[in-house]
Amino acid sequence: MKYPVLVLLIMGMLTGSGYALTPAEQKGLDIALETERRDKGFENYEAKGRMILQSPNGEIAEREFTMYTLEVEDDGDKRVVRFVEPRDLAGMVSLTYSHGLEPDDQWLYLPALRRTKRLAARDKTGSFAGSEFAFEDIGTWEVKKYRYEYLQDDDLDGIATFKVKNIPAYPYSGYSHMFEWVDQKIYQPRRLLYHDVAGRPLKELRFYDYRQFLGQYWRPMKTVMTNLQTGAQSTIEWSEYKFRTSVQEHRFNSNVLRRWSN
Amino acid sequence: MKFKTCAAIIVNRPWLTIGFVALLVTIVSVGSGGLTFRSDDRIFFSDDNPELQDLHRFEEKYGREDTIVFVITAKDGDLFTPEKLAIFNDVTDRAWHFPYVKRVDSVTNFQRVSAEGDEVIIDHLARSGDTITDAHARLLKDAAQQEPLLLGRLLSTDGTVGLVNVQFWLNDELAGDMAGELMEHARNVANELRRQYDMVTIRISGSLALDNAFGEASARDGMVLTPMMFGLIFGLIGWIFRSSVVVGAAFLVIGGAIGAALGTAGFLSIPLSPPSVSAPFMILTLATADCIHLTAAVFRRARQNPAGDRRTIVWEGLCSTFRPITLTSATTAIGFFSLIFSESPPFGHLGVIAAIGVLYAWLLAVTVLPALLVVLPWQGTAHGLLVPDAWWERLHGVLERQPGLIIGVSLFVGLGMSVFAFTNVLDDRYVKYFDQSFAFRTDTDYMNQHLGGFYALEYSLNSGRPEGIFQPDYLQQVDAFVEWMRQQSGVTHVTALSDVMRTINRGMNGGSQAAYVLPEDSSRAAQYLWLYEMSLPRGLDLHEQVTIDKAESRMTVSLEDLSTQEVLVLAERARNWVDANAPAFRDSARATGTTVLFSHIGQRNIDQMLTGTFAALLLISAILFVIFRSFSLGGAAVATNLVPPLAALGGWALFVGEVGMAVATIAAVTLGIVVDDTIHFVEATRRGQREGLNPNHAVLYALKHAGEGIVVTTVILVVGFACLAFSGFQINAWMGLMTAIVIGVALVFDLLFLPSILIKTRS
Repeated sequence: MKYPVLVLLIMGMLTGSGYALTPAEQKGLDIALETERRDKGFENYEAKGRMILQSPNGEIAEREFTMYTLEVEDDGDKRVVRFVEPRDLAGMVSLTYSHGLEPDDQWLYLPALRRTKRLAARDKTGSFAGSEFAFEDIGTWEVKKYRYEYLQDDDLDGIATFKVKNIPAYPYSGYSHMFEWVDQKIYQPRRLLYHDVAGRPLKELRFYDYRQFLGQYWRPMKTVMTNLQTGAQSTIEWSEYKFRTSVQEHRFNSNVLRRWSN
Repeated sequence: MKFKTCAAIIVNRPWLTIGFVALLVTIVSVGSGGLTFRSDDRIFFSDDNPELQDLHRFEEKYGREDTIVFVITAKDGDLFTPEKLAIFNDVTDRAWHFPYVKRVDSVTNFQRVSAEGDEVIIDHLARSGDTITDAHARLLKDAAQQEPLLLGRLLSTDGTVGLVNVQFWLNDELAGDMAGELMEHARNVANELRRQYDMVTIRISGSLALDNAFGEASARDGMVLTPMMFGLIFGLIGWIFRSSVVVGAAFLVIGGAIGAALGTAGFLSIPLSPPSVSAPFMILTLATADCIHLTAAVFRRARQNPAGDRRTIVWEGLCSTFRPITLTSATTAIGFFSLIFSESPPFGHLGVIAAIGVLYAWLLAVTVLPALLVVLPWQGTAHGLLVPDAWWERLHGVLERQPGLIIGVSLFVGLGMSVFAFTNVLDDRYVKYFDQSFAFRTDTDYMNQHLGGFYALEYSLNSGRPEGIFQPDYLQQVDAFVEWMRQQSGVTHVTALSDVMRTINRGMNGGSQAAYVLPEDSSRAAQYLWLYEMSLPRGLDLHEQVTIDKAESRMTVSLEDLSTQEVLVLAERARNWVDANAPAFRDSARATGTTVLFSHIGQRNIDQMLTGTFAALLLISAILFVIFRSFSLGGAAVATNLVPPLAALGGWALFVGEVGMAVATIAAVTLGIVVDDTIHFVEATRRGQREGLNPNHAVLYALKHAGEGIVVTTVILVVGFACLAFSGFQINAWMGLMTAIVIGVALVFDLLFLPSILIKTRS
């Protein structure tokens, strides 16, 4: 090599201006891509969620819903959430088309109104049914929603994980960044630490009791979100995971949302 | 007598005495390192205060209200221009970077619900980063007029003044500690913004500004009052005794008493707070009185016997003043100790620190001071200190001619004034605790004037069951309560769930103003609110509006600059209205909040201090009866000291007319102080009688011997307490001023009423 200094200089400029990934960024992205690769091809799945909200002073409230997810090739997944409890919310259905950097599309069917409303909120930071989960947290994950930076291998309660820093790539996120601990064996998150826009730790999400379905897809049976600033906690107990059900793709459409309601 | 032996040891072994006491004082003073300072507004309330407990229950549901408010005014009178809306967004974005920030509400991030066909748009009124044209800004101005949750709360109705309301996640402990830091942060931000934008003015208010002002008031008291009072008091001592040695000796005694009192407070974990930081100044004043009594007695003997032995002269001076100094210190300490009955802990703290200081001052004044007068060189004065003897004879002449008339006139004037004491109006508007030199005061007054809302009533309206807030009955009654509130004078704004519901209903029904009504049924209401909650961005959610089980919702009633009495009246009327008209949440309609706490504290303090004052009166009267061993003398002494506080409060009613929570403590504190003059006077009269004088001449004897000391110490006490009036903190200023007035009035009673009684009843 004749001009090693020049080459180094150009490489440095490229890296600094974002044209190339640093090794850490490359490894972070690789982990994300591997996670995506391993979870590909499930077609669809549904699960029941029982959510327990606990306020900082110990008050408790419960929600119950069923979540249906449809895998979409080359774009974000589509997701329907149908509420069962509490009674006043029974039959409410939300439909979300997850996109990478564009705002998600979101519709809501209100049984009391017998109408479907399109929600044009650019924020994804809203609370999911009054819980500590933001819509941003409950939406389906897409690789391109974040920039990644691998930090280190980390031992998390006896589980070998990659610790990765995720930086939201879409506007209007409620977070500056989060730290993710990805299980090295199953390539699923074990822990997420969210930081608010000012960079302070805000929430912690833990995933418990992963089970494998169809011999491939890992899903947690319990997820717990804790607000580190207030102490409020929301727990979702998942059950009745079903993969590759007979649900048809055309049902994930705002025009027929009411049919989910009953 | 035993004390004479002790006194002999003190004058014969002065260095040993000084060394021993100095060691004790030094050891005790070490405790001042453990002193803590609390400056949050909660310090004024004891843990078992029922209003505070109500507020705690409220805060468990909705969180604490710790706020810094940026008050932004358009210089040209119109906030709705692209540039000024951008300023709001800049302030809002900066606010999100404050430590401990929980929520930021501003004019621009107000969540507006609008509709386009079947699309419901929930978004910031003017989002940070979006381009806004002049025309768009004007449209937003019109849109803002349709938002009752914005208008009158975050935005003045004329669109001139707007707020950025920053809320923090703090607890009782942190609030006091962080107020200063967060306020400094806020001021820095405000200064940066002022440099950056000249089209707006920026002011800062909020509950943390209040907490910070409490801290600043104390710091300022220390900075302003310390040099002023030390200068005045020691200047007076120097002028009276014409001796720098006496000034130095008094300084050691007084400094020692203050240091030891603060040290003991530190060991006892008594926290300092804005009212109790005046304790050192009170100790300074009271300790001076002890020093003057002793030094004056020594000087008098030196004058009578210029060639006498120093030790003997000091010994005689000490022996003759030991009893009165001890008794007066005891009564003064009792008066201060009785403040532990106060409903408001800072006054109890003030009382205990001052009482302990008075006791240390006594110890130092009867040990170190005489010892210093033995070892230090001083020159006595050739003349009397202040008042020539001839004046006392003239006064006595007047008294002995018409004692009955003087008794009658003093009682008539005194009791006549006392009648007005009860016409004082209680008011604890906590913004007014601070004078106009505090930015907090002027900024908050400005906000109250243009928008209101610093004072507020908070309600948690309980439907009685989970999801109950969606019931049509409940919502309609909340709505009616809101409407009723809005019609009351003094109410500037009401925030409640009913308007949230109306707003969403409008958005769900195409956005026409005709749809600004409540949803028809409970499931519709529930689903609307769910939709709304889901769309609100983080930090603007409904956690501060409804409880997690949806059984209760909050109503916030913003008020003008109302007096705390007017606040109580409004809360009472609201309660009656709810009783008659709102069965859905009848039992829960009890107003709470900081404003309510301060509205009740004045009366509560009076109720509690009645017991304390009575206890102090009982103890002090007992002391008077015991030392005088005479029922009539004791009775006269009690009467002499009961009238002045009442008369002074009557005078206060005529000139000021308004009193705060501190007023309840005045009677007990002053009783202990003013009774000193009576003790000195009666003791001197009895001494005269023991020397064989008839009562009439014994009174003259007392005037000549004790009169001067009484006048001199009273002047010092009045000056010392009047200095507190220069505090920018109204509680301390008024307490000092009232005490000074009472002491002044009591002097007149001690020199006119009491001698006349003694002449009249004993001859």
